[in-house]
Amino acid sequence: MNPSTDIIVAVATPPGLSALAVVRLSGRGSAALVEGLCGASPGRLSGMRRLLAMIPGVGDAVVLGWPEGKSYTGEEMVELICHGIPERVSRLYRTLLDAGARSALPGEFTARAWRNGRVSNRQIIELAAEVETGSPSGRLSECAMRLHERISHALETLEGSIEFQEDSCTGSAPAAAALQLAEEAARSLVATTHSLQRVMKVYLMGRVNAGKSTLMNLLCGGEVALVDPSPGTTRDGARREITLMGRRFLLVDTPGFGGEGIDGIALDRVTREITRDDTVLWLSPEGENPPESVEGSAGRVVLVLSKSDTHRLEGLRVSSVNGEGGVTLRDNLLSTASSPAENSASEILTLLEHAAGFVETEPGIAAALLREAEVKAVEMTGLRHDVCAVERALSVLCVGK
Amino acid sequence: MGNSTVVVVGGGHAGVEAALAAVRVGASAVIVTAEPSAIAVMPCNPAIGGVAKGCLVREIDALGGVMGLAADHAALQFRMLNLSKGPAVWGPRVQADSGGYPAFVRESLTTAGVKVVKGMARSLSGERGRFTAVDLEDGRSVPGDAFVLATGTYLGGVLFRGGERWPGGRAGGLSSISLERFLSGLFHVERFKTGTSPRVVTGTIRTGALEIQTAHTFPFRFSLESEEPVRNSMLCHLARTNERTSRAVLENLDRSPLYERRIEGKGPRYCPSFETKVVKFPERHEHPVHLEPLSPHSRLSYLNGLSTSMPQDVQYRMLRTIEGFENAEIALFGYAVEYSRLAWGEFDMSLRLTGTGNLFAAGQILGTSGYEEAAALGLLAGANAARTAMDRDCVVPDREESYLGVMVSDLVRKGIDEPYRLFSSRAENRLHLRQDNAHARLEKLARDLGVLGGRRQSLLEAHLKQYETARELIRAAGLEYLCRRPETTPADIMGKDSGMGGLSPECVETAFNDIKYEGYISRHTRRRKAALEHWSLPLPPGFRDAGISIEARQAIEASRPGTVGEAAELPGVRASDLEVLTLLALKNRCST
Repeated sequence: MNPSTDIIVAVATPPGLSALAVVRLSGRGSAALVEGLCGASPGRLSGMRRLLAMIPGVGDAVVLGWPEGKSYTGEEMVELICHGIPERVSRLYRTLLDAGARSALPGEFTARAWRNGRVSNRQIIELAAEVETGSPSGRLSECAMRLHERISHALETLEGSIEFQEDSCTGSAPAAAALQLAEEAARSLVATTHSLQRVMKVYLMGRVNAGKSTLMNLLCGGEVALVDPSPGTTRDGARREITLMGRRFLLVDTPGFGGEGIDGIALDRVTREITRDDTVLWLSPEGENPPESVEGSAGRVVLVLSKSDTHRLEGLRVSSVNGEGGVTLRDNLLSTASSPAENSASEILTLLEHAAGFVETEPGIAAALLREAEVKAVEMTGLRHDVCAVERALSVLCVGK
Repeated sequence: MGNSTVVVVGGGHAGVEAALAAVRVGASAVIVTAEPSAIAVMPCNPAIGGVAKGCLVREIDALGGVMGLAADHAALQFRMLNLSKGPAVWGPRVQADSGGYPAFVRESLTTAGVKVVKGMARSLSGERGRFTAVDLEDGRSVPGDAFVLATGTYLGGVLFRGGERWPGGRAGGLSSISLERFLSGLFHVERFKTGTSPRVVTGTIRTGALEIQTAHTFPFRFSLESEEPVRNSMLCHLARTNERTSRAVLENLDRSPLYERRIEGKGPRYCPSFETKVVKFPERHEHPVHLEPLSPHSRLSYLNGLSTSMPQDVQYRMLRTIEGFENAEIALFGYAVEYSRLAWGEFDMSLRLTGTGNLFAAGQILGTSGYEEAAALGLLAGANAARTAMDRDCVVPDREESYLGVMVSDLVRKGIDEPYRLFSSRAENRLHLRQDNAHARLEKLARDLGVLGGRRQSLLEAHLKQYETARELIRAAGLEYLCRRPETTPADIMGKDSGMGGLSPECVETAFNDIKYEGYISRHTRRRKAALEHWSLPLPPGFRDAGISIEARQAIEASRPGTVGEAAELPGVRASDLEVLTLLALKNRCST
């Protein structure tokens, strides 16, 4: 596959009515393709050129051309700017597809830019983190780089004490000290990955009076939702942000299924806002499965057997009366909330702590653990051989779509 | 088959192991050397082994070589380096009798029927595809079926001390100038540098003022063939330099051939001259100097740690600043030597030279430094030369199974830009590559190379059988958990009533250490396997346009690796390049 002869196209601006919309093409032949469409003479778009064009069926557009090596992707690129009327944009898009371009995959423009050396691994990973968390992740990569440096230093010092025991008068003390510095850096990286977490939304759902609000209060440790044993007390979703082990969750209490009138409308509204990134805790004292509308909405649905003090069903049993299941439920939420970055950071910390115990008596083992930690740290900085880190990052990037 | 002949140029540690290995494989062997009296001498320090190097000596023994046996025989003092740091990084090392060691090796050569031809090699006859003889300066010619170059520092050797400069491979030796000219016409040749320390008259040192370097007295032998553990019959001493020693160097730096840049070759970073230490670590003045007696029959001692090429008067000034050395007499001054070696890419993993059919090389000509490195490479080159002479395929060692494999793949795949010394940290699988299990690890390579004679074979079999028994007994007695405890030793295990009393302690030790580290070793193996999955992907054809670095592209175009993993081992291929290559390769796999 020669990537540059494959022309990709994407609408770069968000859907909906806007003043202007931008459609981008990348790949060798992009310029010729657009020149053909608007009847311009071949070569008009070569070099860094701007062109006012009339595209049949679409109307006026401003066309910008970039030659190979000078564009975002590093390939020949064209951008078309037209009025942001959704129908017009989609006509333009279809026209370009008919002319031989193909729809870009999510993140494909950036992937090409990366492959052509126009953006670095680190930029990609930082961009991805920002897309995911909404906050700039310069801090994360800074921390990861420092950690990497310190692990490498600790490893060098340790290896030196193994290879040159005859020349070193200091024994393993410098290695132990270097390792301690690395541990500190790992701890601060873990803290940073915590703080950069996006807030995870958790919806408490179930039939009317399944114990949702009681569970909400149990998790929050106080009165948040108005609780009443008579069904249908919760009308609007009560929201409360909680922090478990340094991680932020937004708990959303919902009206129960099976309620009438205004309850049904409120429930509909809440259900519509659930996305694949969210978690639903489906509460049922009877072990009843959630309806399809719930099953299909969230990325993860956890079946919770509420009011476990009243039955003997097996599963994730939770009771607000005797407190059963509170800890299990928290752990369950925490286990799915960790990001890959956070997992790596904790793994590195564990490896370093483990290694510290071996510096004196078994430096061979300590070095093996440090090497593993070093590889993981490198993966985090994105500077070296972990393809997965970059692939993962590319997959969340939708730049240009 | 007995009429196939391997001709080895050079009689140093690489040359003798090459000749002996060739004989063990089934060929006859001839050593061509200008100085038969210098065969197997130790021109630098009188010691064999060390961290990683000691493992290499045991590997040489596992492949039937002579170094371990000779070192056991000539040992004057034994130390297990890193003794307090866990058996994974132990490095056995002996001070060896500098007269007894070469005498033992020469006897082995005689016993093996290796012929020694005195003469200076000038060139090779025949064609690159098949050489037929080594031609000597005096007009004679030594015919053979395969050839090993083990020229050490003699190939274009030039010695330096202060402002002096003279040809030679070592003090008192000649320099191989015609051969260097001949080889540089066929191969790309580069210059390396190394050096040695002054030898002092032991009686002129006040050893009472020095620290005594204690020996380790527990039984140890490098070779399975040695019947007795090594002896400890001599004292070594440790001195330390001071600020005045550094000053003596700094004030005369303009008289150093190194810093005057008259020596162009690159020197070893890890075995630096004293002047380099002083310049590189200006804040440190206390450098250890080991006083190592050359032999019970010699009145001289070697000064380990004081390699220098300063002029004679400066060497005296430096030395006499050290406590205990106020009246020291120097018998042989230190010097630096610059020599030629084959550039990267001129030989493959079997140690055959590129584009040749039957020419091999080993030792410093391949860029290494150290007796042990040379000997191990010599053994491999000699065995492969004999196999080639006898129409058998060459055998290549595995990086995961031996330090020999680590060294060969580093030299061939990674390339080096300074004299290469083996370190334990060069091995990814270090917890497995230990000195205690060398015979078990190398058993397969020994069999593939065909380098074990009948006696060695039966010794090895008996050894491995005991080792297996020890493992079974430990498991059967449920003592594995004890092996994993840091405070337990193999002796504790043997003390238990587990039926191991009759086994050799060496075999129990190996079984014990295998169990001790097996969790970490299998962890490494799993991770390596995962990496290998990507590594085995074929190199993507579109790599040129993929945005890899220019160095990486050139390296790949030059050596045309078949897989991403092979590309990974090329010099100039950076990790970020690999990322791109792997991703491309993965995409290729998806689209086909």
